[in-house]
Amino acid sequence: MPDLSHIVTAFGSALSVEQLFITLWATLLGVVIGMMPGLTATMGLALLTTLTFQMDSGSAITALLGMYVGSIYGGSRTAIILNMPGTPASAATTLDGYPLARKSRAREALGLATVGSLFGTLAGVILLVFTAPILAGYALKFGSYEFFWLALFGVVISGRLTSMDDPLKGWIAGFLGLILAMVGQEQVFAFARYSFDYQPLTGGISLIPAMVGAFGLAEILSNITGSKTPIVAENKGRILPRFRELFRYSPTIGRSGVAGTLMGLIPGVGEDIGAWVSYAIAKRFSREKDQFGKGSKEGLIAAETGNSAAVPGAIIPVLTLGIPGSAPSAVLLAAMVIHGIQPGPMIMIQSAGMVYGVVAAIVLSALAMTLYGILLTSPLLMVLRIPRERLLPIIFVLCVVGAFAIAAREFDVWVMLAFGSFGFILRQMNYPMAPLVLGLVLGEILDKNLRRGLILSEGSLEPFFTRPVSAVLAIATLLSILAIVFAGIRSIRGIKSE
Amino acid sequence: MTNRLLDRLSGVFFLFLGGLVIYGALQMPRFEERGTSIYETPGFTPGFLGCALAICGLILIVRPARRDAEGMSFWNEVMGSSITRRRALAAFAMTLGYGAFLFGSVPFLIATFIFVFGFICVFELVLIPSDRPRDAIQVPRVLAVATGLAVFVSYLTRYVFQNLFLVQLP
Repeated sequence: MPDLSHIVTAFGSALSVEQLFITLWATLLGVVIGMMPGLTATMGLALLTTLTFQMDSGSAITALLGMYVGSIYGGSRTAIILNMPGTPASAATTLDGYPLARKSRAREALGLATVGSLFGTLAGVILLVFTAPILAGYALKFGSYEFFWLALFGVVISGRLTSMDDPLKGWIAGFLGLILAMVGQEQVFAFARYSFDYQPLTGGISLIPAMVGAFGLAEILSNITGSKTPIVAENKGRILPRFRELFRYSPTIGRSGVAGTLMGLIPGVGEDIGAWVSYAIAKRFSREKDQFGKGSKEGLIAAETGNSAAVPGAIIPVLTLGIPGSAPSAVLLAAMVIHGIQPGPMIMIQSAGMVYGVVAAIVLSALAMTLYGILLTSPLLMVLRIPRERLLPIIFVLCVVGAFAIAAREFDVWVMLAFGSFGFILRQMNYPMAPLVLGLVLGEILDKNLRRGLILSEGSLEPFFTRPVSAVLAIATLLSILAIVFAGIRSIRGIKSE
Repeated sequence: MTNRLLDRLSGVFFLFLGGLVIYGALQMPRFEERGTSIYETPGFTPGFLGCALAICGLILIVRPARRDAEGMSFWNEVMGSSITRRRALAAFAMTLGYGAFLFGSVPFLIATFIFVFGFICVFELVLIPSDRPRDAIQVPRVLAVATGLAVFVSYLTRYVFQNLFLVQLP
């Protein structure tokens, strides 16, 4: 059970003037970044991490959580008004948000999305409070075998779900990330792998410059090429949803909250899948199925509840296992390590207060986000009028300086440029970036636990398949791969028979 | 380029890269003189990962055509038309030019001013999106905005990072 005294203390600290101020500006910055098509939550978090070095760990994490919550929500503004998801997490929101806006009900859609996001975040937080202690306690029993499978499962499932059309490309991106994580000194003999006697490479590839490149530079390059000016829907109508409407959609909100959180929990899956799964479930149970895709309020609220619930969901494995649930949470994990916080199974024993501090920061960010969503709708939408030709060079300057600021070395700028350029090319070929980043994070965990496990078992693979949790993860990983293989064979047969 | 051709090209690249990773793993020391088991050797995990990447690359090359095989990939949205291709290449050249050459070798204020000013001018005056009328461009206004923004961004970034975050910029 969660410790109530810890929760009260955490909210007490989070409500101090300094922390409240950080929550307010970071959430607002997050909303603005999320609104800008092409600026993602991951990019915002990676850039903000470079600006938090001088802060104490609590303030830094509060700022990053504000950015995370705000940016996932901010994407809905653009999805509804421009029919362009501000972040990938808002892609499902466009399906019903934009048609509603085209019917001159944009403010109503924005209000519904705001309330959906608030409830989604709160549902995710409640599940975080109750599941984190249980999961952390359970994870204490995990050994090398379980952590190896968890890392591999994360890459496989992330590869599959972020590249639904072609999971092979998702897996390639994941393996590429794992291989890149092998660069630099390994932990057993301190041997510098793939460093070619080049000193900066012996320390390995820093995660933040890599992410700034993959999600920042690659986005800038993709964005500047686009030549179409979006059609802006009129911003009219009532913003606050009616109570009876919310009551009517409460089962959808509940289901989407749980589904979104669970999707966030799965390593590497994240907010966009949370929204899609919630949307699909809502459609399945809805009495107005035919309205989905044409401006269904239920569809809109499901998508927004789902992606926001995935935020606390993705933070659960970060805190309890040290494994990110999504790409933005991978940056959060890296930032926690930079600030001296060691997430993992011991967290509830060593720093339970920090976990509840995260809970308080998320709740306050969600409230700040709601406030901005209701009060600042029109001023916030003015941000969308800034031409991207003026915004993108500023973002790129921050990418370069941010990458440099981590260790004050130009090598990190080159890492950012390399990841950005290569990431841009991979994106054009439909390779997803999330598994690559997840692979980069999980590479060390996979390597360390595979080798340690095999040494402990004297080369036997048996414990990898016979220990209960290992067996479950192994079956899930193998089934995930086999399902795709069989689907591929069926699809080929179908094409041949045509 | 069709999806199938792009897949095959990237498949060849990943097969080759996987091969290089395996070769690199085999070249790593095995520390046998210390009585080390094969599972402890530094090249153990990278070797397996190289195999996995090479196998995936091979599947990408040899797999039969998918339904969208002859379709034009997203690549064509960028490289397909003259204006998007030129915008992509210009953005590529300018970002790389600033990050890899100007940053570090030219004082930060000058480097950032050149980049921001150049970026805005190139994309607002020369490589204009196809749906924006050319005669609506106000050259003096764009030049003024580019100059103002370039000065503001250069000084503000330097001030924030050097004075608030204590990062010495080049």
